[in-house]
Amino acid sequence: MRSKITKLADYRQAALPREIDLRCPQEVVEKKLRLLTKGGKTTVTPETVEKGDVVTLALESTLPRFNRPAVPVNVGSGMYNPELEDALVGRKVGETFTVEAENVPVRVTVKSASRTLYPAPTDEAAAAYAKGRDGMEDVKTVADYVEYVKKDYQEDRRLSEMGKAVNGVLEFVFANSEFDLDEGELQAALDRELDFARRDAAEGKMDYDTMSDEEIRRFTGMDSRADFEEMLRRGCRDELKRYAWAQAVIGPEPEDAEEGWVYSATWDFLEKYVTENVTIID
Amino acid sequence: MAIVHATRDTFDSLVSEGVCLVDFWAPWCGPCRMVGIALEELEDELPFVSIVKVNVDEEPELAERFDVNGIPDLYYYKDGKVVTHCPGSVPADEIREQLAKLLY
Repeated sequence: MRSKITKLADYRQAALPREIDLRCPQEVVEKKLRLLTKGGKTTVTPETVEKGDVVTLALESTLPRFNRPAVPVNVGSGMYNPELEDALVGRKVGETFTVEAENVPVRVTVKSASRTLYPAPTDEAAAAYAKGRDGMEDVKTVADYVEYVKKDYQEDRRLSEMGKAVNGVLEFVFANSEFDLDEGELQAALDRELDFARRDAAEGKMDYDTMSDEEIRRFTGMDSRADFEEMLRRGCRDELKRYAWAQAVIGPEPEDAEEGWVYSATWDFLEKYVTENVTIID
Repeated sequence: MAIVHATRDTFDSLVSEGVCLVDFWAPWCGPCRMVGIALEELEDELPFVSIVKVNVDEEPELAERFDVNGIPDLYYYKDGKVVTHCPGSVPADEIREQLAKLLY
C-alpha cells in the first residue's frame, strides 16, 4: 500500500455519545402487536380526535402548503406539521379553529376522522403470524412475540447507534489527520468500482457507459453520472484513508486476511472502544 | 387503502392517481420481508397512500419494464408519474419521510 497517513489524529479525542439507549418504546411494541390482528380490524368515527387517528382537513392560510381543500393526515405522526397535528387532539368532526403553523395562522376545519380498532392479540394469532417467518420459529404466544419484537428492535438500534458512533470517530479521524493518497491506488480503486457498476448494469441488460441520464438516475438513484462517479470517488478516498489509519493504529493487515479486512478490523476495534466508553442502556 | 398485488394488466391503473408506493419483491428475498413488514405497518397508518406490490417472479415483464436489478426496489409515484426510486431495504421511518415529501 503506497497511500500513507502523514499526521495521525488521536481517535480518542472524538466526541462520543454519553449513552446509547436500546430500550424498546412501548409505542413500538403496540404498533407491532396490531400486525397480529389486522385481519379483524374495524374502523369507527371517533367522538374526538386522538393521536393515531386519520383525519381529512380543509386548510386556509397564506402559505400554499397550508391552503388546501382536503388534506389527509395521520394525527401525531409528525409527517405534516407537529404544531398543527398537536392542535387536532380533542377536536370534533366539523369543528373549525385557527392554529399557528410555521409562523402563519392557519384556519383548520376537520372534515372527517377515522380510527382503526384492533382486536386484542391472542396466543393463537401470535403463533399464526409467526408461522413461516424467519427468526420467529420460537414464537408461540403473545409474550414470545413481544420478546421477539423487543430483541429485534434492540439489535437494529444497536447496529444503527453503534454505526453512528463508529462513523463519528472515523469522520473525526479523517478530518483531523493528513493523508498522502497515492493517485495510482485511487484510480485503481475507482476503476474497480466502475467495473462493479458495469457488471450490475449488464445484469440488467444495460450498458453503463452509454446509459442516458434517466437510466443513470433509475440505476443509481443519483441525479447524474457525474454525481454518481463523484460519490464513488469519495468512497474510494475514504477507503484508502481507512486503510492507512487501520494499518497505523490497529496494525498491519494479516497475510491471511479475508477480503474486506479493513472494514471488519476498524469496526471490531472501534465497536470495542465505543462499548467500553459509552453507557449502553438495555 | 389495502395493500394491492399488481399484475401487468392492473399496474398502470393502480398507480394512476394520488400518492402510491410500488414495492418490487419476491417471497424468497429476506430483505423484502423486512420491507413487507414496514409496509404492513404503513398500510393502516397511511390509508390515503396506495401500496402496490409486484412479485418479480410472477411479473417479470413489469420487473423488466422498470429495469429492476435487485430487490427490494421501491418506486414512489404521484399522479401516475415516478417521483423517486429507492433500491434496497429501507426502514419504515425512511419510507414515511419520502411519502411525507410527496403528500405535503
